[in-house]
Amino acid sequence: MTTAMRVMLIAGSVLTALYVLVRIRRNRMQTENSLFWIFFSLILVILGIFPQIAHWCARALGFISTVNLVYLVIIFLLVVKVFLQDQRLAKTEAQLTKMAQTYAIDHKDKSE
Amino acid sequence: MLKLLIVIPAYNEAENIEMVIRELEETVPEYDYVVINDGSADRTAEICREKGFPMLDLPVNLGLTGAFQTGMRYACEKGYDAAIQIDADGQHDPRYIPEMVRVMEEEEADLVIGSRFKTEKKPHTARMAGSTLIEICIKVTTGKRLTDPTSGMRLYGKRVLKQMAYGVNFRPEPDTMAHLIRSGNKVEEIQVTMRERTAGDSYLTIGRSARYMLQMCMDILFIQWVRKKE
Repeated sequence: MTTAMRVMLIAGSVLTALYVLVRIRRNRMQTENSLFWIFFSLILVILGIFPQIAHWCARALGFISTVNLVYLVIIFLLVVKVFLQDQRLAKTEAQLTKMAQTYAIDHKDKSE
Repeated sequence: MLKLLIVIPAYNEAENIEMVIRELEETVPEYDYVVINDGSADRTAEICREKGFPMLDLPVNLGLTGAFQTGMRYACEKGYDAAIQIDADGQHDPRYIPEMVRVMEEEEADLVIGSRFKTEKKPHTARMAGSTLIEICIKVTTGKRLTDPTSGMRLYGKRVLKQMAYGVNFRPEPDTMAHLIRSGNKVEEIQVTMRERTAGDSYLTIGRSARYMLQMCMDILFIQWVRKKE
């Protein structure tokens, strides 16, 4: 990994983590949702500070370039996040549908 | 006298709810109560309607936090001074409610927790190891020892009621207790005995428990420091 890449990794992750913490402080974010982003940042910071870890893994897994492994890790984590979010979205949509239906039915009863 | 509302979040508790309410009516008839039906798939809501139990009927399942908050909001909006959470599975004995209220009034406490282990010893089980871990996290970060941080039997006074009802990160969980202590609220415990649930299943499975523990420890040890004391 080049120094520029490492600096970008560390700076990006630290900024993400800070932003998450500021949002919690301002009561704009639930602590439950923050856990993923804090761990995500932590992993990238560790990879940035200790590139040996990424080098070692890349060699063990047969990657030609270490940075490819870093990309893969990031993509993997984001795919997991998208999947989990998709599940939550489906649940939220189902709830919203049910809420709207309940409201409509109750409303009709009231006006009759 | 303290105007108290007893909040009973219920999710699929058809087998227990009537017995729990009857016991409540017999033991503490002087206090108002409300069942929060959290979108149960079973007959919980029908039973409440048939028997005439006061109930807020959530059309969808919000989870314990959402159901609990509904009760807290209701207490705030109906002008109650305090609210206590009692589980609908019958594990919380209403006999302790008057004593919890008395402690709240006498000690001017903002929060009174019914603890299974204030004077009794904690048994050595996996679940209690988790409880001890949370207890240590709270002790380290707030300096206060909560002997039963996961107890759901909690009485919230006027000062904290509003936060519990409208706050963003005020789940009825140990991390919130730590935050309330750090924000300068007075927390007291009384010794209670809890019963095993008589019917139905517990919400916590092994996977959920592990996630829960991680979340609680992270929140208490790290996130807490960035939260504003309110």
